[in-house]
Amino acid sequence: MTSSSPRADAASPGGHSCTQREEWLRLAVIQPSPFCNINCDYCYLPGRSETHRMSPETLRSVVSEIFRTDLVRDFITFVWHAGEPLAVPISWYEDALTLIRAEAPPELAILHSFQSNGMLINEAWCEFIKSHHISIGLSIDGPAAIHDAHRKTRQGKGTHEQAMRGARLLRQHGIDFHVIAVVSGESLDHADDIFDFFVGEGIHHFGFNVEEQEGIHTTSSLDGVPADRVAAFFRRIFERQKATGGKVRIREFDNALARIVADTDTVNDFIYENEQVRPFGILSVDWQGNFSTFSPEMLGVETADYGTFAFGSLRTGGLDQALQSETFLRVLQDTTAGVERCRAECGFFKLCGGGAPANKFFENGSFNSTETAYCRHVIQLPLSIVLDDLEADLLSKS
Amino acid sequence: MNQKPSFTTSLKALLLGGALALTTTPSAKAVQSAPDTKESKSPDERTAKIREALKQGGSEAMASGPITAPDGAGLMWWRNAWGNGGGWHNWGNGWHNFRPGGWGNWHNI
Repeated sequence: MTSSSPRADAASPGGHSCTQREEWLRLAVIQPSPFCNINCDYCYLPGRSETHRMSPETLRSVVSEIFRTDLVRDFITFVWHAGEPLAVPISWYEDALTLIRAEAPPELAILHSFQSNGMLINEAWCEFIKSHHISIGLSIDGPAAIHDAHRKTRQGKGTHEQAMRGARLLRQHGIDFHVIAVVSGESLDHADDIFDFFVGEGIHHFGFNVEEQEGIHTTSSLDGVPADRVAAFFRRIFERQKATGGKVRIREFDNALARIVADTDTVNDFIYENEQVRPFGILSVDWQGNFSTFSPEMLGVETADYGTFAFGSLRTGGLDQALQSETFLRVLQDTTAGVERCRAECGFFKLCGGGAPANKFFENGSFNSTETAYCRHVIQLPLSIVLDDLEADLLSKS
Repeated sequence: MNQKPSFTTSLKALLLGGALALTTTPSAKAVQSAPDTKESKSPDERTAKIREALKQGGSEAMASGPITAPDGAGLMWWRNAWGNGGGWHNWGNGWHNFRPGGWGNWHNI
């Protein structure tokens, strides 16, 4: 854990030294259960009606393997996701967190995180989240009319009221949380309504996921929508954020700023900085112990070209199964080729590092491809908006 | 903890110098094909100018104020993001302030 990370060499075949960031595996996305208590129509997850749960034995094998390799350095985030995490009992997490702490090296910093629809939050969850310093984000798309257009129960009813009840309970307990809002066709003309709604609810940290074709969600309400409408939405959100004097933080713009003002270009500092193109930069594990890497959305998906994207099972073996997996080697080869095409064709490459493999596959039909809607909306557009703003503030009189 | 160094060693072998490795060679084509954006400058050129301006004092304005940027404009609003804004994994289902100055790549968190 303290030596021989692939990063130490992979960072520097061209002579660049690796600097501050030594972690190779930084993010483990673990699926305690595929089950979700609601049925959003844009969800990418297959099998979310199934109520299976990861067994203690499987979890022990997963955790043990993560710490047995030397891919983890000083810090790791465990995200409990790929289903509604709060649909699993608190007692399951109490055992899981205890196990992880016991298995982890004492000096390792661990962050646990939930991304939840908020509907199951109660007093007991608030106490648990607070006492374990768990990072929590809620998925709320804005005011009820926008949120309920897509985020519905299996009976087709809206979920906004219950989600907001959960959000308010978190606030009452003094728990800081962020919100991720999906931008769908319904959102585009309502940037002000969405912004005002969040701020009015005391929510000052939020991010936007633009509805994508991913997993089993093969179309988007934004298909065919002119790019300038999406751009107008984000530009308005940026104007509103700036007008708050920094009180509101928005993930896409903060990320863009960090990339622009960094000492070096992302890919010059570390060619594999982009977690989604770094093999085993993200480890995704389903409830059965099957594992994948690159974009977490790939886990559980079966395709004609590759079969499943599970590269092995941590219940029965180690991560090294991937290295014998023809599928893994093909995905790595194709992903690498796609990143090289990004390098050759995209002016934003140095600030991005090669996009999101899952989006390339699901949208373009191949990992060996370049621009996607994710690139345009989540990478390029925020970078352009922040560059415009910084130029106006910094360069206008120089 | 390092009972299985073979995985890392093998992964390293895959990523170093072989066909499966990303290269660090700059691409001339990337510059040629950079999209026309602000006044036909590439994102790289625009970013370089911003970084140069920050070295001239803009970063202080952005990080802590008082405003000392060349045009005296409102850079202070970024101060809460300074050194902190990239602390998100870039998979978007999680938004974690995991490390000042770093950024993540998956957007679903």
